[in-house]
Amino acid sequence: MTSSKEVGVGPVDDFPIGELKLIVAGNREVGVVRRADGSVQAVRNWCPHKGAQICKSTQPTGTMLPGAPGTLTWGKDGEILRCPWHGFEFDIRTGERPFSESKMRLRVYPARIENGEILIDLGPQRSKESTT
Amino acid sequence: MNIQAPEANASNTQDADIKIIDCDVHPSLPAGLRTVFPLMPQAWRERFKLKSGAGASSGFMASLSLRFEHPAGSAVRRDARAHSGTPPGSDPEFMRKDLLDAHNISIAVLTSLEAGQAGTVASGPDESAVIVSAFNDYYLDVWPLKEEKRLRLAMTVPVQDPQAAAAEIRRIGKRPEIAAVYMPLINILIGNRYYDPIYKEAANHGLPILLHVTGTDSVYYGAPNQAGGFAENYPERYTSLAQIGEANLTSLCFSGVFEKYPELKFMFVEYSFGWALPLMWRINRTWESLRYDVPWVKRPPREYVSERVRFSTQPLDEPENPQHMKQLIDMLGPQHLVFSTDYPHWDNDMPGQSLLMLDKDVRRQVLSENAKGILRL
Repeated sequence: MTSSKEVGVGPVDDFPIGELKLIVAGNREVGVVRRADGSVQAVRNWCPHKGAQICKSTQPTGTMLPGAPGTLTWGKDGEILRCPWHGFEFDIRTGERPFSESKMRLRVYPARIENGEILIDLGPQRSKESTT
Repeated sequence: MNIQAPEANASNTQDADIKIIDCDVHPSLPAGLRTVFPLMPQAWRERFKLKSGAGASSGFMASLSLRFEHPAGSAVRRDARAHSGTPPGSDPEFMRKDLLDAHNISIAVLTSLEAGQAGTVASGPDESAVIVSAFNDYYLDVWPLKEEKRLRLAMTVPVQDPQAAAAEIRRIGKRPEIAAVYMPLINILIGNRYYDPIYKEAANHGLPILLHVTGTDSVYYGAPNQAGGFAENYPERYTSLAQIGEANLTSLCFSGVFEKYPELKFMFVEYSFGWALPLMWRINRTWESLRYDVPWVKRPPREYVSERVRFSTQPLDEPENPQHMKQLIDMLGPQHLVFSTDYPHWDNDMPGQSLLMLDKDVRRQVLSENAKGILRL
């Protein structure tokens, strides 16, 4: 573990609301989403399953909630990031895999807005990212 | 935005000293069938223009139907689309950077599933011979295979007409860019004598027979079908495709093909391999009891398979304990496996993130050495 490292990644106006934008923060590629309520989510552009660039060609989406056979219920709209390779889904706020017992986590970074700029806390950083 | 940080890809520098051979890469046409019109005789070109209507771009492509369409809308990776906007797999320069360079791949074998569809059920027998030849010529002469030695072609054969397929092998089979014969499957098992003309020419040219699903499987009449009934959705069909590999390996083992063509080798690509070990146990056990019913199978089937059949690794299964995969490969025998990515499809396995539980020497065998023993390189 190392100390935290908060970096500015640009003015809020550069981040359209609800749209995942891929930026470089420090030495990391990070997908950033600004929300209408003023919150910001930031995730690492690295799928913990097989190392795909999960923020490339993807946008936040929803998913089908568990339900009875033959029924469909759409939920978590805008909260899910689905990898373009193997389709693994992650909650963009927590990095957890929804409706799965998997311990696999997408790396999420604390992010906030201050003085019209988006700040992302890249630390504490682990010395090595886990993969399967 | 073109961002590329050193960490942000699935390559792995630990393989820097392994010359990785990727036995399954899928090119595609940038503008559908229209792309290869210039490579066809005029009369056939006119026929396909007429049949395709004004579009003439994708009129021959087999639809999976809504029932079996990939849940994300396409089995091709969206992030593998070239900057030119063309379909994933259709830009050789992008493929060179996105696959070969990025993942340290020394040789990649191109297999055209579009050609495979045309060669089986998506066009008539006469049409398929013309279309498949045009596809082969397109990848041999329009793609930079003469200069880019890392790219090799599994030439497709029009399997609906075995004599035409044999003629196609005679026409181009000596080209050094060709590493295998892609024989897309129809609903005749591969031990059947129907395929003799193809096997004879492939053996004459020192080319292995490469088997791979076409996408028409279990969807179209005339294509191979999975056992037990009609799947209801993509996950069911996808998971069960290995059944086609199992049925064909069994057919091969009891047919006598190994004796008829003593030099001919077979590659089962993208059927996975977890099923191969218990199936070979069953085939051998059956042969021990009932050899007298198939006396042309002169040796235990596992010996033929060990010498002349290879299974591609993709799609890799992921047991909760990765050591179980290591044990499975140890039981099967790592000599049976060749590495494949299946780029640019959604379920591709990239080398830097695959089979990391194997010891280095076994990993080298699977990622590189075994393919040299079966492909014509």
